[in-house]
Amino acid sequence: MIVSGRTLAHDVTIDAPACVVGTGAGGSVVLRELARAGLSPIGLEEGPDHGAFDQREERMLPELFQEHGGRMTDDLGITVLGGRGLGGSTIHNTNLCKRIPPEVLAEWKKTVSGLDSVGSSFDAIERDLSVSPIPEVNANNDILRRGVNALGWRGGLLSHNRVGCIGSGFCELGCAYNAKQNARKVLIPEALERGARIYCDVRALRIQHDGAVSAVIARAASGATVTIRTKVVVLAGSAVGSAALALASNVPDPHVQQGQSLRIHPGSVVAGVFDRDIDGWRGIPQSWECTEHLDFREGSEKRVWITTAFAHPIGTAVTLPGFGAAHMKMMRSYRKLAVLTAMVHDQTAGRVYVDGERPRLRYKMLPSDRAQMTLGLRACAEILLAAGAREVMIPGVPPRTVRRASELASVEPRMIPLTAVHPMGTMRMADSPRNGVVGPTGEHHHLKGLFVADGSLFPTSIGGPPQISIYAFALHVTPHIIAAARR
Amino acid sequence: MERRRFLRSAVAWGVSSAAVVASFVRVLDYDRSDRRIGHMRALAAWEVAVVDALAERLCAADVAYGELGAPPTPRECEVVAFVDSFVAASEPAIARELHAAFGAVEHAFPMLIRSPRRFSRLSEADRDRVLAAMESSSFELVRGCFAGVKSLVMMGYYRDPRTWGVLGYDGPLVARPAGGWVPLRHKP
Repeated sequence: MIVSGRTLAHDVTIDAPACVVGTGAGGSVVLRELARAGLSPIGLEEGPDHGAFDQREERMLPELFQEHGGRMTDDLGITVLGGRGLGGSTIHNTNLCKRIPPEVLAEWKKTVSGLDSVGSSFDAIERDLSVSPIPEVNANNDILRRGVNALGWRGGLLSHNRVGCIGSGFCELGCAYNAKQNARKVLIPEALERGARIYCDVRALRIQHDGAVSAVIARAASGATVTIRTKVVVLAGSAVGSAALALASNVPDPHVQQGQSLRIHPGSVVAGVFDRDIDGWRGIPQSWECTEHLDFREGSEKRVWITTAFAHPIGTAVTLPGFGAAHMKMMRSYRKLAVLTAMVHDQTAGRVYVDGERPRLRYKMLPSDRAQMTLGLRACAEILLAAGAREVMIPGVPPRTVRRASELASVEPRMIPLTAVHPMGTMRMADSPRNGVVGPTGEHHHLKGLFVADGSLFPTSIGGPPQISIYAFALHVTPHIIAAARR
Repeated sequence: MERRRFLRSAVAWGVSSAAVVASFVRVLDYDRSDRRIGHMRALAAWEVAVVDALAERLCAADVAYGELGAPPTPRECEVVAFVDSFVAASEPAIARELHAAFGAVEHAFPMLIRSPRRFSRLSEADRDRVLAAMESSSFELVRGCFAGVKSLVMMGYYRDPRTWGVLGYDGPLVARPAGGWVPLRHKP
């Protein structure tokens, strides 16, 4: 059963074996597994159960993203996008499924026990979500492939979770054809069928605790108070939302770990102008990657992941530098543009904190990460030029237009506009309470009954799209959540 | 150390108080005859003037209006009405920040070109200079403010299907009468 908090006329108090806060990749797995175990969990979702996806940016972007798509770090330096609504970010993402690299997992195993079995969680969730390499690449991805091949660099086809896709290319605005094998389509219906209840448009405000978890207090969009009395609370509201709720609830944190170690994969885009029409908005986005500058071995200074990043008109207008007549002239090249993005496998440790009820982000990029960003933007430009771009536009102040690869060595972009879509690591997993917030079971080191099941768990950045890893890690900790709910 | 902190706080308090007083005085003198103002849910008359002034320059055409191939004007695309509805639908904390951003554009950022005038009363060339200075400022907050207002205005402008013809964008697939399958290309 799904209840909208907009319709709640009175305060509600519910007893439940477990309450899951957030219904994206992590929360949906936990809800389904709890329901499968015969427990009837309650899910809380701050956003709505999205209705129609009308492929209009001005309506869908504010609806699908936290803070209307305007969430930024506190210095306004980086836009940080996160999903909002039933299904979380799995509603608007591009369905990329890429496992945590083995080198990263090996590093995590040094501080987290029990991760040997996480492989089986990946296998299981990939089956559930029908993950497979996508059959065809669109023109924008073809340019990435051709550029990478021309340079003799490393790259390859990506896997996605989509079935029945018609290649409309509107993935980032939600799928009007229900072809995404996402949390809302695959996991939540089964959870509901088996007895889970989900309250949408209800925002968790704080966790009540006294040595152990006792309740979650939430506020519905109607203004009603929703109280869930429970001994198990699962935080699955993203690395931003989960940390913010723990901080707002004064959850014990003697080693000051909560909200720390925020990683975000900061990224930026390079656009190439071609002589022919590319029509990059058509077809499946982000189906190819370049991993030439991504080396996960310890001490490596290749920490850049490259893929495509085409956008519809509003996204493109916002991303292209400048304004006025010059900007309009660039926009007239819309059909001839191919766009690539470089994301940094970051070492910068930002943090989440709360300002009243609002989560805030502090993230000051390390010089080493900035150097990686420069490397990534140059690499994107080189790929586009190798694929035949007439010119490429590199962001920064001032933006640079480059026509030959030989010019790239002198490009040192300053003050690059950055966007991040992968917050991670603010409630990280570690055997020792000195190194992390939760233990290897996902349970909080200092508060019994509080679990975490989203990207907050990750001890470091993972250097690639996190959705399948979030699903898998949530599945990995779920047996412990079920055991706690039965305690 | 304590004394330094006190002095810093005092200076910050003084500057903000002066800014608040100046802003208050300066919001009094705006044209209220614009019929759109009566329909605004979130924007005050002075903000309508600011958003209009921003949109005119951020979305300025590369071809003279009225000529072949010219895009629609921001006013035709009702950018102000869109921004108003966006602010009205925003959470209070975000709406406050947006109002503050419009105030900063109007009253503070003309200082970047050493102009004492309001943004909405500057010449087109000076408004462009202010916007360029914001975009290239070494202060992230100023650049962030530019990015924020640019995003909002661009959203209000490029949502209008009349702008899509300029780009060659064919619009949402679900809205087309034929609908249907989009051919994919380039088998791997």
